[in-house]
Amino acid sequence: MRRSVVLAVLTIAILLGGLAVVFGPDLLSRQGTARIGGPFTLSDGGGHVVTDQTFRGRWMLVYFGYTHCPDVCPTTLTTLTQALDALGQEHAAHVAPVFITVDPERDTPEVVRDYVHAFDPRITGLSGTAAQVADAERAYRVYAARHPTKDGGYEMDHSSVIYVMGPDGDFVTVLGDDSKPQDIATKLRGLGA
Amino acid sequence: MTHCSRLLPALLCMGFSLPAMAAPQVQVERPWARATAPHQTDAAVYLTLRSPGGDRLIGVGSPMADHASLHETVKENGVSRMRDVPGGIPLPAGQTVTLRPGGFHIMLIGLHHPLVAGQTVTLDLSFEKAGTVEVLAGVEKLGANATMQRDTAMLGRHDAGRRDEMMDHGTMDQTR
Repeated sequence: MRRSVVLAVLTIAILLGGLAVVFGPDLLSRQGTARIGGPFTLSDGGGHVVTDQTFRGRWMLVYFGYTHCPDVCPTTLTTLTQALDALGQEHAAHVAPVFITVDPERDTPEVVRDYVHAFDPRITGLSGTAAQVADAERAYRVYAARHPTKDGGYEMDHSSVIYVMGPDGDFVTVLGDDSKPQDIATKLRGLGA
Repeated sequence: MTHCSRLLPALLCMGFSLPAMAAPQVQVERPWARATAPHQTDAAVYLTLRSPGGDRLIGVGSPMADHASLHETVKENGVSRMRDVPGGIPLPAGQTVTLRPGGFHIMLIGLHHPLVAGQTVTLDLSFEKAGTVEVLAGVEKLGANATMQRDTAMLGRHDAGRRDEMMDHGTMDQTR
């Protein structure tokens, strides 16, 4: 009697395991349910409201940073600039690099716009109210926190990766902030940009 | 160094003169910074260091900014943090240590003027053994990135002027 119970439990377990293997991946990657990314409402330096919808039809390269960042952010913006150049004008037209500040207190929309345009006018710089920026950070699961500095100011600890979002707005992949421009261009061309 | 007539003392005499050649020194190569973007008040300066005898970079100053300090970019699980380097940056004997984007760097906080391509940034580097070394770093236009352009090649070797103020030949330490 006990053995048949054990067998029954085992059978059910194997069946459930099989179902998980077959259907699990679909459940995890439902189309339209982005686990990273999603709606945001921010402002560019020209006084325009910019949302995720603004970029539909283009591949977004989203990066979160701040203008008081002396090392990582200028480096990544340089990388994005050089990736656009590596893509060539035709393909680059399908790609929208978007820089979102994690420091809205110091980085107003105008400040961010001026900052990113010094690297490349094709990069969109966005900021907003603290709540709007927090919403965007939450959508992209971005970590951002102040770290006080000796001079009385602060730096920002922040997630530093490049989020690749497809023309439909869905998350595609992340790229490291130390990715090489050529590799980013190759990746985007391979995705169909 | 006067009565070095017998062989053994002669060798010892030679030994005492060696410290003059081995006075602590640090080679500074390719110091550079990026031009700043509008509204950018802080900037990073990068360079390559090599100390044949071993040393430690313990401080930095610049007349061109309110503050200057040694920082390290630390990446963990995709999160980037910038941290002070309280003990300074060690320079193991004979090893090349490069301050580069994404790693160690000199941080200038509160620049008095924007950094413009073609200018130079004045830095005073303080070393534990070598003392103070003045360095002039070239400012490059935005778009430059050390890891991609530089690596080992020296583009025209404009590691500008530097005064090695620590070459103290006068006081040879005979107890070494």
